[in-house]
Amino acid sequence: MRTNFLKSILVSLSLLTVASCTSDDDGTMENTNPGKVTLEFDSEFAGNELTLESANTENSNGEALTVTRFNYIVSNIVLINEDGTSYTYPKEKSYFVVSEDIDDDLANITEIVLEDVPAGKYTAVKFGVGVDKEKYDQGISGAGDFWDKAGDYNMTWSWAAGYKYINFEGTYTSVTQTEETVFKVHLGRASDEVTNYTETSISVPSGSAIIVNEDMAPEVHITTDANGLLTASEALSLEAYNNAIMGGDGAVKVASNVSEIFAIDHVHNNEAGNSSH
Amino acid sequence: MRKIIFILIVAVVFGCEKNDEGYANVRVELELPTHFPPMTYDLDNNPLTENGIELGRKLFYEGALSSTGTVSCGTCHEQKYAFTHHGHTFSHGVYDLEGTRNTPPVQNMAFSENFAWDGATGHLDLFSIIPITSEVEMDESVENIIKKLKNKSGYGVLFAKAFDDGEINSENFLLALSQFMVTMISADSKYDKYIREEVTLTEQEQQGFVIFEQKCASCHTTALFTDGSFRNNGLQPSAKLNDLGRSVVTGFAADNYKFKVPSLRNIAITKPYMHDGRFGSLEAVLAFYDSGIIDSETLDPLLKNDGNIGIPTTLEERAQLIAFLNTLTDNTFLEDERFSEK
Repeated sequence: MRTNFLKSILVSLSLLTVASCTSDDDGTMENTNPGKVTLEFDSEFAGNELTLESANTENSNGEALTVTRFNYIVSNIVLINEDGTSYTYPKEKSYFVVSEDIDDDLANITEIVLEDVPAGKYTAVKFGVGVDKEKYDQGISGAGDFWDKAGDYNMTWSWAAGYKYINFEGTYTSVTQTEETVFKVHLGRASDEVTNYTETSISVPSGSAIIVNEDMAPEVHITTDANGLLTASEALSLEAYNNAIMGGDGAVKVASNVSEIFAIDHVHNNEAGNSSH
Repeated sequence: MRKIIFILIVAVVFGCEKNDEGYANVRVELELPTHFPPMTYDLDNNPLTENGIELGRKLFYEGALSSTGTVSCGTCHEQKYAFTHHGHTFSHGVYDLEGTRNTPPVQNMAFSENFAWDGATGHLDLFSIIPITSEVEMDESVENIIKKLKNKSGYGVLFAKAFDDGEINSENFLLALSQFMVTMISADSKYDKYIREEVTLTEQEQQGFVIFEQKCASCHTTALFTDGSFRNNGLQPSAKLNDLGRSVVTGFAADNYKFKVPSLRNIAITKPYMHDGRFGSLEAVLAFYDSGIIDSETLDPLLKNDGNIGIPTTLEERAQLIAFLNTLTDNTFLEDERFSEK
């Protein structure tokens, strides 16, 4: 009886230790239960906010783009802890569509919410843009919901039966192309050898961290520079590609630019229940 | 006692498990021909069941898969012609519209890396979407098919029987079609029986086999009679269609005019030949390889030897080759009731 009583006290104590939270000096919480993380994708165009249907300043290829649609698939999210370990979000849940679109029904999915992330201080986020070979090779099994959702957002090809990783559309003008000319940039798998799937790893600003536990609701503000798709390290003139880049070496170059268009601008370590922007 | 243990094991492997909907669904083990290369389709992601295959067969012959309700997969893929559209250079889809490529057979799909003449998809599950959504074939969307199937009597139970979650949705729809197509294995032709040492070839067939190995088997490899690669075999491009083939999918000029090397199984009954169905006989095909090939930047290197283009054959050799190709006709497959419309 006595030992049972003691045991129950011990159990209660240990439960308290696990569940309790105390604020320390730098304002972080020591709750060790998993929490959620919001990744907010803020689309930009060469340092300005991306405004759909509004002409941007001429890019470095001499073309002025007006964007009407900028959708992409974010996948395989990994959070890198300050101690160097990493947490891989469950693959079966790790496929998302981010969408900015003049079609109201498809507009403004800019948030990805990760649930049940182990408590910790994370300093970098790694993710893929598109659908990796492993996922593609699973076919439709387990992909049903995501395939349908991708379809809803025009992120699937039917004639070539696969996913569009990026849908970047609008019109442009240049010195030689004085009329507004429709352009389409669709990135996707060309073959098993040329998948065009790319991964990128971006770090939080120095001195900052993504603080995750049950009591926190951190928001990671990621900027996505749509301008960089055609200018980052490979220059792609839309005119040179006849206004459409959907495969071939153009798609390969766009894919190589993809890893350079993302950056973490700042992190809001909100307490759960509050949110700020 | 031994007998009892054996029965128990069988019961575990093939045992009926009731799914979430309370239906028993028997697992099916696929019998793989021992002389075939390994299967590419991963059955772990889509385990075969009796009810899944049966649902796939029903869907294969379901007209509701097209916008007009009249064109099913089976319309253009007729079993007795190894699931090709007999007598059609190009198949007719909804409203009698005509496509631009010759209907390829549906056989041994579980062993293929890429699908369609240009490899437009690399996964069997996604393959059906192409003819379904093509405006000149079935002109329908998967979403709309799902709606139609939900309103059609019978499918509620069939999906409930076939899948654990029992839902009529695009995933289960495509998985059922894959299950059916995975079972469509052609491996019982005279050639297969010869390989299994059950029959002998005639003198002429035997000579044809020897020539085939010398002159054809570098592309038409293995028991599948294709290496699955994309090659430009030197056909003069049709000015009207100017079909660029593989490069339509990849966007690489190096892939211009390349098409998937077709299997030669059941070749004798699947005329017309080539991606655009331009040749009406095997004699014409062999004559083309002998002297009709057009050189171009992407012409397959195997067709160029010491400055000579093509695969030269004498008339006698062609007759022998055709005798051998006739041994690839698989009547067991062509008449198998498991694949027929019921």
